[in-house]
Amino acid sequence: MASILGTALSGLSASQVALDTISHNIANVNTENYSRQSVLLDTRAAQYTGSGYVGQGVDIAAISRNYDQFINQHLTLTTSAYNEADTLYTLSAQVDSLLSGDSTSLSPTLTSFFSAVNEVADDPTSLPVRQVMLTEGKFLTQQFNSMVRQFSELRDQNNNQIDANLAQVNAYAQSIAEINAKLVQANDGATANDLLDQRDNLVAKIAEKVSVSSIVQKDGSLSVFIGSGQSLVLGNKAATLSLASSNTDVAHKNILLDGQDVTKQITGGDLAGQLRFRDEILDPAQQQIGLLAAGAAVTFNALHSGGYDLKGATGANFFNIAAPAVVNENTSQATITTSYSAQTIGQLSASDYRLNYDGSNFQLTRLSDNTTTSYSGAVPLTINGPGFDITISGTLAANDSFLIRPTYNAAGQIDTALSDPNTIAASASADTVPGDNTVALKLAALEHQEILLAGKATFNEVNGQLVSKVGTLTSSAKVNSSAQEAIFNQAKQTRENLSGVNLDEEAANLIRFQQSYQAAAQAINTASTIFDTLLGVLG
Amino acid sequence: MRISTAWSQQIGVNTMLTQQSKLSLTQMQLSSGKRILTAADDPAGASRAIDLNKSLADNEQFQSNINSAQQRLEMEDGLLQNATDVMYRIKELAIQGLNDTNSPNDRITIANEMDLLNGELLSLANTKNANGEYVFSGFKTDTPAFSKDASNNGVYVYNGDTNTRSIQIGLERQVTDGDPGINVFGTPTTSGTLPEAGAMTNVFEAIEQFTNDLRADAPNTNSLDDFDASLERIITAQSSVGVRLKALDSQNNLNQDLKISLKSVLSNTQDLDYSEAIARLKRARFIAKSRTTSLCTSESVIVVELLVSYSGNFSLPTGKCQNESPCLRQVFFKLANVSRHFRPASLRAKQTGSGLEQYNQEIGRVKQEAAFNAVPQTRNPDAVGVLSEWFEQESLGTPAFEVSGDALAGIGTPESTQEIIDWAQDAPDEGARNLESWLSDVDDGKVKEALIDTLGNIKSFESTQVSAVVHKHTKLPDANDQTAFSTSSMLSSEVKAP
Repeated sequence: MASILGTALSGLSASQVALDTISHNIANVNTENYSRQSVLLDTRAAQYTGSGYVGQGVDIAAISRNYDQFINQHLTLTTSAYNEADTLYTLSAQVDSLLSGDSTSLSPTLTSFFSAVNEVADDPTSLPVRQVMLTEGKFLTQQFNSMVRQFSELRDQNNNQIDANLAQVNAYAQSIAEINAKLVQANDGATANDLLDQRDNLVAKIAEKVSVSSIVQKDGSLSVFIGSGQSLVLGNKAATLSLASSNTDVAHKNILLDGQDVTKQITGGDLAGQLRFRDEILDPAQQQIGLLAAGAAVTFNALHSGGYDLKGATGANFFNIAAPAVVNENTSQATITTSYSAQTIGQLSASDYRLNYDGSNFQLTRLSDNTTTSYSGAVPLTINGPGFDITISGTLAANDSFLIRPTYNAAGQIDTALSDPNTIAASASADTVPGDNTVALKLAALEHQEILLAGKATFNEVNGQLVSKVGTLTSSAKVNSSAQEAIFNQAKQTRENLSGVNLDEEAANLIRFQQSYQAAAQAINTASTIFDTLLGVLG
Repeated sequence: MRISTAWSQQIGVNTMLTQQSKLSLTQMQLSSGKRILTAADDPAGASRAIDLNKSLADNEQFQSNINSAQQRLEMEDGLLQNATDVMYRIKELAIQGLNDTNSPNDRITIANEMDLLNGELLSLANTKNANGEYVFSGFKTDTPAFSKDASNNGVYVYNGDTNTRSIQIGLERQVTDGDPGINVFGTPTTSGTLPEAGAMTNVFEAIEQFTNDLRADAPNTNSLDDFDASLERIITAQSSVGVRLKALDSQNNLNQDLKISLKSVLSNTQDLDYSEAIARLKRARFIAKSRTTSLCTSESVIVVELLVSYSGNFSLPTGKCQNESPCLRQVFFKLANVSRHFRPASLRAKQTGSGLEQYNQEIGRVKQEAAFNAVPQTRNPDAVGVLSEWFEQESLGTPAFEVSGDALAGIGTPESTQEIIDWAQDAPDEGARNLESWLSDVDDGKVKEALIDTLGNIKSFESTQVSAVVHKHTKLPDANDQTAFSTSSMLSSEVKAP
């Protein structure tokens, strides 16, 4: 009789725990990354009596989490890949629409400017026509400036977003370390399902920002690694990610992990998307526009300054463009000056260059593809580089290196130099003013000449190349993003189908355990009745 | 297979979002008429479009260059024609003057006329064009081409140079837009004194020489040769101008042809195939609609469930629901968004049957507040009817009227408009105040028309403010535009669906 009570009680409490777990599942139906839990029941060891083994009821073996490590790892992987592709697409679409927009693109402004030059060639003595050419020139330089300004704004936004993402990853890492500490401390054999879920959820959140892998250690703590294996969390210690300016450019940021530069190791997630956007789209686009600005200004200036203005004076530069910027990378004592060269401007590439001194020779490396050209000679020395000349003087030491940026800043700085329409040099000689349009004709013809990119592209084609390059990258990012999304959704579905809550299933279980609870209660009732009967007999 | 409840709902939402973004892309394409909205839509096509646009702009520039060259050459042609006429008259006078029957006085008279004609010829040679440039001075367009020598002994000086200005009329084609004066009128002597008749190289000097001879009563027949040579020079120049004008004409035709073919290629590259896009739009709309419908259906089931459960609660004497106004608010939000497929009328029947009506009176305030909040969300005209009925139970007055009007205007069907009209007629003052905002919300052309027809004719609306509003909105676009207009409004109302 005591065993009826005990057995019924075990059923009662097992049903109760099961009902608790089911309602916990139902309550968490919409909780992100929640793994449904189930109660595993086990028969209690039977008691031997003379007439054989008598069952003693039920035990709760465990409350387990429906969870598959491999499915979760796959989900983590696809999350990072999808977020990287999606971020890259979202960001590059901004540059794409900037370059393609009717009012923001360079092509119409370039055309208007050269059309104004043509008008001067048609009518070299007319001051209004010359004024139009000055104004259109101003518009053109402003368009260049405003594109670079927009690029800078995108770069700042991107930097801010990277910073925000790093802060989030730091917070997640900190939380994982804290959960690790709790789990190690508790270490009571039973697994704290909800803490584990929370920790997995944090890893999934990190995966959205950067690719992540994790290993469960023997003590129950989780070691988390990001990128290509940089450890983020070990036990109860979390490393810190931070953002720092590169020493060559304040706006160019590097990612540091506990002070170590890990920018190149970052893969996957929003962060990789943001870094790739900067390195593959934003910076090259700015350099290509800079190439166009520098190329147009330098060739135009060379022709213009060879002409004569309406008053018969020799022509000045039409555009103001600063010499290529030089960054002294390791406090060299030497002095480096640069200037664009109209003779070699066709060889200029949309890239930064690095000048190294190895103790005897100079190496000029084009950073976009790392091709190197060697130069030798005694200092002071002038090197005729691709599109620009470099003059070196002062004291040099081996391993001195200088970063030369002929295209990066060009479009942001370009301006028109003239303000008086009389000073446009349309004539070829001081004797032939004012009716001579020879130089103006040549200036107008620049538009159709394949001058840039090794004599293969007109100004307009340089812009067209940029638009189609960014368009192609954006389009492939878009395709990639939707492909990764499909894979991600597939992985998510696999995970959800295993670990997610199905309300119908829970409802059925609810009824099942309600009934078993009621039945167990009935058994207790029966035991009580039997007991009463017995008491009655005795009484 | 197990299906996660949350995920299966998420799939529905994801599909709907995808369809909506496709729909929005098609709508943007339709409204811009362009297939390529950004380069990413078709990188190769976009870069081809840039090149084609550039070629078109070049073409346009060449056309404008041709126009200015044409203008100048036509002007020169006219000047040269005048000069030819003057020369004929001079020859005629010269032949007359050479006749020995003339008395010395007759010859002086002829000489005087010839001097005048010489002056006319000089002024033709020193003509300025519209820009104030001397036409025959070469590059020295700021100085007159010919002038009399300072010594005033009949010798002339050429102040221009021998250059000619070229104009770009095609990628590889230039044309000169004038001729230097010495090519047309001949080179003046440099000796300082007039050469003999028959050895003249300049027309002005030839005429000077002849008039000098006439005045001396000894005209030289060799002067006729000088005049013929001068005439020859002018006519040669004129025919060269003619040739250039013809070249301009042919280049012009070439450019026009090129323009047409460029435009057609450009259109094939970047323009939208409307019939294909509209088919795509219909498909996307259909899918988006069926998605929203399937979501709505499940929504409406939930609403019914909730209503029934509340009406069930009502049977409890304590009125359990009174403490649950947030829940109730939810119900009415749901009701506001119920799809048309589940008619609110049947919902109403359900509540009435279940005693919700009575329950309404008990907690009318809560219900009214909830309905009041729900109405602006409403996208179903039938739901407005139900909700507005509930308003009437309490005197909410103007605010209720306003939000209901907003909701109905937002729905934008003829039925909902009729509802607005009915209300507005009952309460013209509020209607007048809100007419403008409702009109701007209603974006279907026909609905707008109906609204204006009815509201605009009510007497109490004829305040200056309202009639200005009505007047502004009565300017409906013409038939074509209106179709486009209502198409776009249909699209936008699809997107607004719950």
